[in-house]
Amino acid sequence: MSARKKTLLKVIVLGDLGVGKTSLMQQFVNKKFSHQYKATIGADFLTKDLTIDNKTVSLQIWDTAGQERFQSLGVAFYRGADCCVLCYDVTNEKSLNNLSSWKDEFLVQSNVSNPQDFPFIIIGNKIDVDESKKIPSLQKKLLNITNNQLGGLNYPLFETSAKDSINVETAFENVARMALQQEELNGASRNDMNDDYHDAINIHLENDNSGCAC
Amino acid sequence: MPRSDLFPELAVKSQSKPIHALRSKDGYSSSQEINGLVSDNLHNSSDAQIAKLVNLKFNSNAFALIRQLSQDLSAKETELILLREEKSRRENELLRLCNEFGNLSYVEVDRRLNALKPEKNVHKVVSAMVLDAMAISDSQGSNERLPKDVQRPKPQSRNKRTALRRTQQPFHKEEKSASTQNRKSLAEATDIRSSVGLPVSPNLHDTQNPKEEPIWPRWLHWLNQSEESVDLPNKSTDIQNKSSIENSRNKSVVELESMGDSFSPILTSTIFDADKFGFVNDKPLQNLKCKTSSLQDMPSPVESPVSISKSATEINLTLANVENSESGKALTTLALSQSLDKLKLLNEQYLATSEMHLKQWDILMRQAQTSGSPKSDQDVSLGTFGLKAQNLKKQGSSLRKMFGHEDELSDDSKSFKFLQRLIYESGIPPKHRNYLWFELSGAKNRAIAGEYQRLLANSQGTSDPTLIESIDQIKLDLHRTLPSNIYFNNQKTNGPGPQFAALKNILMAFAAYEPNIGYCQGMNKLLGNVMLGVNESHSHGGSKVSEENLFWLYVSIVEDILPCYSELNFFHPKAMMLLREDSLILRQYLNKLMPQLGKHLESLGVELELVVISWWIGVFTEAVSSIDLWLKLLDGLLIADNPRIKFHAYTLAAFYFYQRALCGFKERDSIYGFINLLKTGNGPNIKSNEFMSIAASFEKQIHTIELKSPS
Ligand SMILES: Nc1nc2c(ncn2[C@@H]2O[C@H](COP(=O)(O)OP(=O)(O)OP(=O)(O)O)[C@@H](O)[C@H]2O)c(=O)[nH]1
Ligand SMILES: [Mg+2]
Repeated sequence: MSARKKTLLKVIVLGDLGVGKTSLMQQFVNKKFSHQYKATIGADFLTKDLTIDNKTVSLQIWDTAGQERFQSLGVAFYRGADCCVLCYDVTNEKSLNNLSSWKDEFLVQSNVSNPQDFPFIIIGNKIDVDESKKIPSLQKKLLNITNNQLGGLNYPLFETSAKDSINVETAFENVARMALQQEELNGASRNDMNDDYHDAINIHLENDNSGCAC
Repeated sequence: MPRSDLFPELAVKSQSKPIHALRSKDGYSSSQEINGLVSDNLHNSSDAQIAKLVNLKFNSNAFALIRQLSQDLSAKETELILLREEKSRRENELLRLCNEFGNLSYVEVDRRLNALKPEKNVHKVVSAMVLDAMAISDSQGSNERLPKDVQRPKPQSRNKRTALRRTQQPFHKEEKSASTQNRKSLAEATDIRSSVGLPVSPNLHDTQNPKEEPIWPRWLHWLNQSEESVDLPNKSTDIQNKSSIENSRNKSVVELESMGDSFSPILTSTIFDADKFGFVNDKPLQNLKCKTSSLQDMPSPVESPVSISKSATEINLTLANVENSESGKALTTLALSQSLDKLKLLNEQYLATSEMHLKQWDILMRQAQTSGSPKSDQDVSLGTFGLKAQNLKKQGSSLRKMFGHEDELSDDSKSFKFLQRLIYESGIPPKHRNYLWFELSGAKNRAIAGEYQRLLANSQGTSDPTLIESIDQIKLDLHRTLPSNIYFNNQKTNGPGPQFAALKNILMAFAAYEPNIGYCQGMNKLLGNVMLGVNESHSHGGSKVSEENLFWLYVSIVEDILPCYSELNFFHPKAMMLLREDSLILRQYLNKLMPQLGKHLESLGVELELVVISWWIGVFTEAVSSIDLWLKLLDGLLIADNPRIKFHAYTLAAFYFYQRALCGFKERDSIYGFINLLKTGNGPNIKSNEFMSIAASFEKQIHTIELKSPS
């Protein structure tokens, strides 16, 4: 079956509550924006096929819940990710400041083999809003954060509007490209996604049980 | 005169008279003969079938058919008028007598009548009816004609009922049920018959002998008789009601919606095209669904007696879907019978069972309220039911007696079982919901006067960073709570709906009340649904619940009803990890009880924990699509012995009903697609009582397994 041969790429979308993760995904996958999306509990999952450099890939995008207390659930699905999207809301400074903690959390729980060059991408959403509502001197703060908190690594950065469909497509094409690279990098070591999942589950379940002492 | 004598006598009197009157003239026996043939479902027949009918029965004269139809219509119309007259006459007479001889208020009359001992084998009769009906609908092809002289119940018999209800004088509620209850002393058969709104035949008991037409069970004969017994004195009663017949299918829908006494959708139907809970059809979300084709192998309902009575909306939806929704077609036709004929039967039975349940509820409530009032029972000062439902089970608790059903259920544990059984069988009916929720949750005892206002004021002007954070999060979630519901989001103006402010206030006050718990996503959904339930109850004549009381109800549900994990509140940030551990236990249960599904999900690499946890955190709002069912799940939680196990049981039951669909998916994406579909409220319909009984059986099974803590 040709469908089976498609490269599966797993993408995790993280960021504070209400930054627009669900809206971004809906815009990318279903090409629409609605004010009627509900807050995400736990995680949602969407798939989209696209062609990157003549290669058909299937993007599995995990839309996570932004509330901090749900972070501990991340272990259940961060594993095997090929790319992680860190989102903030250009009107919400706190969401910007939290980018690094999302990144750290992801690295801790996903246990990726190459934390130093694991592909992250940063999305600042809601650029459609009035200039006056945006975080004052955003660029400076952003630079400060990437340099001091995100390890000075040059993560690609996109400013988007899920509402007006600005830059969303471009951003996710980049996501797919980066994920594909990551996948090819790791490709040799895992032939079958499903097997990988199983291992992942078993391993982190054990970890967790010992890790939680609360 | 002793009052107890008054009623049976009255009942008999008022019963026999009208029927004689109705039967006295019989000028239309010939038309009566084909009556059923013509009006019954002709609109569903193909042109060819109608042509055949015209050929065979009307000598190829289509005008004769039209004439016959018209005659049938006017006959029905006359029947309605007579019944209406009779009904109101009897009602007035009964009340007059009660006033005159018994010096009884309407409330008392109602209570007396309800106190009459219900027949013990009501259940037997009903299940026999149900079984019969199932057998029939299975053995009969959907479009098959019935034997000539054995008519099936017609849609009109339901309309008759609607008409009766509509024309009732605007008495108090009590009066109305007084008049419907006055046949209580007769056999249960009579009871059921009257409960489906049909006149009671005086020689009803004669018809019970078994030498009837074999295919049709006797209860159908009772139904038929009423139609035959109607005379047609006035041919000139014209077809005023053409449109009502044209709409007859819609009508039955309307009627189901108006099952409650005084349901008047405040916002719902007038301004928007919304359903009874205020949901506006949100098309965009429906498109998010996974491939519908795979949904076609939804589990077909277990053909058991319980499967008959279903929530009103389920029938509604089915009718609506069958008629106009493409996507719905695939989903619902499987869950229900294929033909409208069968639907009509089910409809009748639904009415019968739900009326029976309603009566039982009325009995229970009256009992509880009388014995619970401080006047009659000194040591009760806590309110009617007192603390939580759990208290009812405590030995020697005076509260428990309130559930007693005097003679039959004098035993305390039995009386609690009575409540439990009613809740499992039918859920709390809307009109009693607000009262019972408030009582059973323990909200009544939690409420502290003035506290809510204080909390609200605190939360509004706070400088506490944790509280501010909670409030920020609440604000982000408010407009993402039930966005397709007009109570929360006014689609016309794109502004807040009438209950938006209450939602916000209560969530904020709670964050101030329990800063350690604060706000957790999922709370908004829980509260939103609770509010919908309260709305519905209110529109059915249930007690009014102030925002303050709603707050205490919510507090009680969150703190006393939802499971606790290691003494941490369900929504406590640290409980999340424990919930996760519990979800691992659920996986074990699933593998044990539904091994096939367990294996299937595992082989596709589905993250079961995620699915389960999002169901739990949203208190099942994302697990079941119908609000009606959800409300019953909450009812069940209120009286749960162990809420944590109840959560497992509900989860397993949900998987049970989705099992066929889930096992049909060969890819993980489709599974997640299906799970997402549930979140948007577009999942398959599940019959409430089936769900509850499946959940109960799972609960029993897992009860025997020791829950081991995974650390
Ligand atoms: N103006 C504007 N509003 C947006 C945009 N994207 C999302 N929103 C709004 O922001 C709010 C939150 O959007 P969601 O997509 O639900 O946010 P989320 O990140 O998924 O939130 P959680 O699921 O709670 O973690 C919604 O009211 C959206 O309508 C955007 O590009 N522009
Ligand atoms: Mg979201």
